[in-house]
Amino acid sequence: MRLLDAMRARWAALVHRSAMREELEEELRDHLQHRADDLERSGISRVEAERRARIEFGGFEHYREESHAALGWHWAKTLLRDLRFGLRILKKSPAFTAAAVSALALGIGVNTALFTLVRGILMRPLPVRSASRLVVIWGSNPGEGLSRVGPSGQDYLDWREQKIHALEDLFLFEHGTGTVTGNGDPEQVAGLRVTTNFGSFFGIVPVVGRTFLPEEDNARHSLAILSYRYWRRKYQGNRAICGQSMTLNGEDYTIIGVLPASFEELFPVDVVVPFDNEWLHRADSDLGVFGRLRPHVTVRQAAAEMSETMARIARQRPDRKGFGTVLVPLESVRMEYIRPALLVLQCAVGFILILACANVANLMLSRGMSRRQEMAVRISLGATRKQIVRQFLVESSLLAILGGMLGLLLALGSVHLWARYGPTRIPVPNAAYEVTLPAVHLGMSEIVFTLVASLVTGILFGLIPPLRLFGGNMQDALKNGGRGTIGEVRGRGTRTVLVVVEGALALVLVVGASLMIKSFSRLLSINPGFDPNRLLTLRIKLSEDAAGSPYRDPWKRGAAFHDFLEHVRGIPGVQSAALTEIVPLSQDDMDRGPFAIQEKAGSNVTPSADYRDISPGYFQTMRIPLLQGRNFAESDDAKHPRVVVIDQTLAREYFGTENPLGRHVVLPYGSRIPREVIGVVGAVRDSSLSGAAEATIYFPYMQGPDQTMSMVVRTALPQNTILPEIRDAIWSVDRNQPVFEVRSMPEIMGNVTSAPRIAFILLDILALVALVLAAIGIYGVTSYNVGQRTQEVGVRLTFGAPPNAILCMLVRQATTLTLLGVGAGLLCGLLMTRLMSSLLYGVSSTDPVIFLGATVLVTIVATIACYLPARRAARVDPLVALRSE
Amino acid sequence: MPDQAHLLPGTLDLLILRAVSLGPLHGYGILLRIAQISGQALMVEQGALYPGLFRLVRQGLLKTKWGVSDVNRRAKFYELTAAGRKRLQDETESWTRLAAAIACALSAQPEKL
Repeated sequence: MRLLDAMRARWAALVHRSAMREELEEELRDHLQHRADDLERSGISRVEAERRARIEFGGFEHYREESHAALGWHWAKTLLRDLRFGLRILKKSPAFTAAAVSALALGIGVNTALFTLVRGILMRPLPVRSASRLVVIWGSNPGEGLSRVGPSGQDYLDWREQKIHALEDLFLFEHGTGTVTGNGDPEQVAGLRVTTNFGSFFGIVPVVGRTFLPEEDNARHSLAILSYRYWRRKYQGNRAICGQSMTLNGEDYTIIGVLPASFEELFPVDVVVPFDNEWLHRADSDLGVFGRLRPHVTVRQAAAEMSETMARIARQRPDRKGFGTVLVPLESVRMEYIRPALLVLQCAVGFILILACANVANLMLSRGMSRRQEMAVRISLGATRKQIVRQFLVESSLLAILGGMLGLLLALGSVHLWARYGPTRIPVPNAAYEVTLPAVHLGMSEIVFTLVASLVTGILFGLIPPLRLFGGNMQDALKNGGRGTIGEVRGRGTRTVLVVVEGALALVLVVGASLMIKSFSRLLSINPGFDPNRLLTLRIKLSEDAAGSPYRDPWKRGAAFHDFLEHVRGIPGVQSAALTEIVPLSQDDMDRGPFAIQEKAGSNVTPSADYRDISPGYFQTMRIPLLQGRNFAESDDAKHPRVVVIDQTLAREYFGTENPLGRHVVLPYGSRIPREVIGVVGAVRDSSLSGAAEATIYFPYMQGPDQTMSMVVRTALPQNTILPEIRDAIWSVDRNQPVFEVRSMPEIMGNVTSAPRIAFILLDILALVALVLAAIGIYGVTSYNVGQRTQEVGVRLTFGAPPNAILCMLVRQATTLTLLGVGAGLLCGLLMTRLMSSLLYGVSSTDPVIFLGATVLVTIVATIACYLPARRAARVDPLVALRSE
Repeated sequence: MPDQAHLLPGTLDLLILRAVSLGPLHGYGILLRIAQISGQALMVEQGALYPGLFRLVRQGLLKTKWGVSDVNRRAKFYELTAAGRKRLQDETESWTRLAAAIACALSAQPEKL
């Protein structure tokens, strides 16, 4: 209660300052009037009474001031005075202020920028119900080298039937595309097929309408839910949309609802439709399954229960033998690819902040020393320690806040650059899937973060100088008038620590950056097995599902693709064009399976390989070299014997030195037709640049046409010139055929190298900043130390010491410290770079050449930073030096 | 004026609280009341009263409101808060103990030691 009253009084004092001042004046005047009244009654004149009242009152001005102080805004006034004084001091030494503010701006700016990214990307929860309990469930088969495969519909049904206790609910989905017609240009939309628990599983609140009901798991309902974005784009956000119908793959669907905008972060799709329950039993693998853990159940417990379940299932269904499951929390799997890069950068920017603080602390310390006399005078005149500490704190906080504001601008710029040049999509490792990165922007919490970071740093380095000052005897300071006496250089211990820390941090960052440079240049120099320049890729999906679609007949599909290809090849400016089931590195999909070699029957290992359906001309368009035999020809169609081309990896692994041409590959299911190997081509990196090339079998697409193919077009023309022509060429064959996922090959390559590229670019900049900061810091400390010893140098020179010997001594003493720092840095580096190993390609995290090179670089820079001030000291005129203060 | 005792440091707050505890008063009134209840023995220097008053307000021991004095002048009146009442009680007790102890010490006779 008392505290509350006191606080209220203070608050009132602060808010109503001028009002209270007037009130105070009035009250004092009233007092004088009352006293004068009394005196007047004793028989003196009014004028005389007022005069006497004033005299009796005592020192009016003095008491008024004291009353002001007692009213409680004394502290605000002193703060203002300290601020004004601080600003004046800072203005008086602009070089110091600029150095300190810019160092802090750098330190705080890079930290705010990275905090923005980390918060926006790693720390933001998915906008769905109990997102932290959702796990992705993949199948795995270590025996066949499959680490993450999408489960099949049967897997899902099995898991449901086995009633896994650890999981509250299971959700099955499949990504796909559909063709929308009858509403403007034909358009390929991204679709999602889901089980009907969709709405409850994610806790979706639709913007309009409803989600699916449990009993709507039947194709005859033909229901669709639209995404927010698609609804806005195609239906202009019309709220009376429910009940309208849309034509998807030639069939009519009834729209029943619209998803909230935030849902796109999880599934960037246009249309959501339910699975048909009957169809689930037949559904192939490559579906997606999410599970929701029961509260307080760990992923590990759930994984253990799943593996027991899989063992039980394998006893009933022998074909599932050898299969296990992999459970990964949904929130972590999405950012699996980019997290290590961001965490490494987080460490790096932390180091930069420490470096910046060390520099500013050092600056403050040096200045604190030169202000020792001023402080001593102030203390002897009655200033309390509290007041002196407060003065230092106000000054350092001023610096920090100025630095913080500049840093905020820096962060704003960086975040803007990220939005412009940063990756938008990142792959999910081993899952043939991509995630769209959420947009990041600087918000209120980032500003608060900057403010807190500034104030904390300000207070930290503001405390150092006064603490060092009070460590000594103030009278000494007064007596020797700030004259540096040998062996009495205060703050030497603190400085030593600062130099060692700066050297160490700079070395760690330089090592990290050098590792990234080497690794990234290795990564870029990897030959993907094809020539990615001037390649445009796009996807075409035939609507075979539609009733009455001509494409239900596989040979008609082949013919359609053949026609598309011929028309595109006819466009002027197209050098060559071809079809492939999967574009390398595009994370589109995975098609992988077992095979046998007819001539090597009886081998008990089942080899597996990537399957690729391609058109003739694919190898020429991609510039994949033909090593042996021949390419596919137009004549390799259904009417001719089945043939395949294998890649170098498969030839080496399964044929060794034998000649593979003329041998036969058999797929151990279906028709088991032997397919003759007619050629061997170079290996291609399909899933990632850094991974090994997988064994691959190429099939001619006319011997088993697919529904969806990608077209690769080699052309020198820019994308927006050629794309309309390609569309027109395709529409001249089928007016209702959309094309989608138009991407240039360099763009695809950019996505798979985004994490190392971000780490590479940013870490290099940060290392450079660190090196500069460390150099400035070491230079500053050496200048100060040498400056303190000017007299000693003078004495030595007078007694005939050669300037060069003095220079050597000074540099040696200064460099010893940095070498200590470099040593510490090497140790830290060995521990820290391990964090980076997932970002590195083709270089060990303890690469000795890099460590040696970085050590040499940091040592050279540090020695130069020591040499410059030492040279100045050694060249001084001895007479001047002796007299110097 | 009769003989005046020096005000011991720290006793001004106690006197103000006591004076106000007898009824709301304005600043000048507090001075008169202190003189009155101390039998004209204690006189507070007029100016020194105000810093003391404001300190007590800031500590939440007194509250103020504007009113009209008995001579029909506008004046700010001071009243005890609950916390002020509690403080007055505590301070009075400790003062009484102190005064008794000092009186006892001063009246000690050598033969009784």
